[in-house]
Amino acid sequence: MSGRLHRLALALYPRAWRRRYGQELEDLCDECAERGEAGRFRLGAGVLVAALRERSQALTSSRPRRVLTAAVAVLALLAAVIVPTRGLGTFGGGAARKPLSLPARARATYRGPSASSATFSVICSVTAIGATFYRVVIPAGSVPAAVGSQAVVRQGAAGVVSPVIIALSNSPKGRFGGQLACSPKPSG
Amino acid sequence: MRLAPGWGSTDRSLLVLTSLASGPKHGYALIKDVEAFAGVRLGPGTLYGCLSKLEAAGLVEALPADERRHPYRVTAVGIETLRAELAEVARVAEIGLGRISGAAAS
Repeated sequence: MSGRLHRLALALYPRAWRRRYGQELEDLCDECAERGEAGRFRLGAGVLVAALRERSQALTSSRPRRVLTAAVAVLALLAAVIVPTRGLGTFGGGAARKPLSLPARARATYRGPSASSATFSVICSVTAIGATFYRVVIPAGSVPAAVGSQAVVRQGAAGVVSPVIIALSNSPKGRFGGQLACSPKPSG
Repeated sequence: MRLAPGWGSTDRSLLVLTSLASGPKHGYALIKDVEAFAGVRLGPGTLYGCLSKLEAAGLVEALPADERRHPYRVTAVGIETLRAELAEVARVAEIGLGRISGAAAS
């Protein structure tokens, strides 16, 4: 098995799983590719999906883990609310820093985080929490597990990543600098 | 013993166990056999997801590798589990078919 996708897919498996089955899986993918069963990209994509499934099942395999996952989702929600609306400087005493000196053109155009981006971020996180609690509250096996576990991965990732993306996009300089939150909305 | 619910792969695990019931098989042979008798095409990742859970549950065990091929066989517990699972499937199928017949008659 070769290629970046395959390596990425294998790296996504839990370490213990990878140690035990990684080589066997790689050998099987090689055999399938050599016999023309599927292209290497398709095989890699299949392994990638299976790895995500394995990870999500590991996350929700026991009640303590499900609770931990839910806690992470709650933190993601807090981040989703705080980062887009207050900025990264909210954390770590950033509010005491001096306002960012923006170029004149940026001052003229920058209006701070938009309400729609913050709303989108909150929706993503609420969905992530909903998906997580769905796995916590509803007994495993009572619904197709693939549906729940994939939802946790997909929406959980959205909930965690979206505040970061939104913060990046809201940054007046298009990057983090610890001063994002301290940049007051230009009054004119 | 029953296959643990909530694995997300109970049906696939059943197919893998059924395939191994006819004798030890390596990964590629398992994929082809399941495809032949069930029409389900398992990917390598999916197959090893099933095998890892079945092995952890003590239902299958790995045999010494033959070069790049890694055969597995079903254990005695695996056979009993498979028997119980298939009996349950047959029971539900019988009820379902009976109800269909009843609905058609009325």
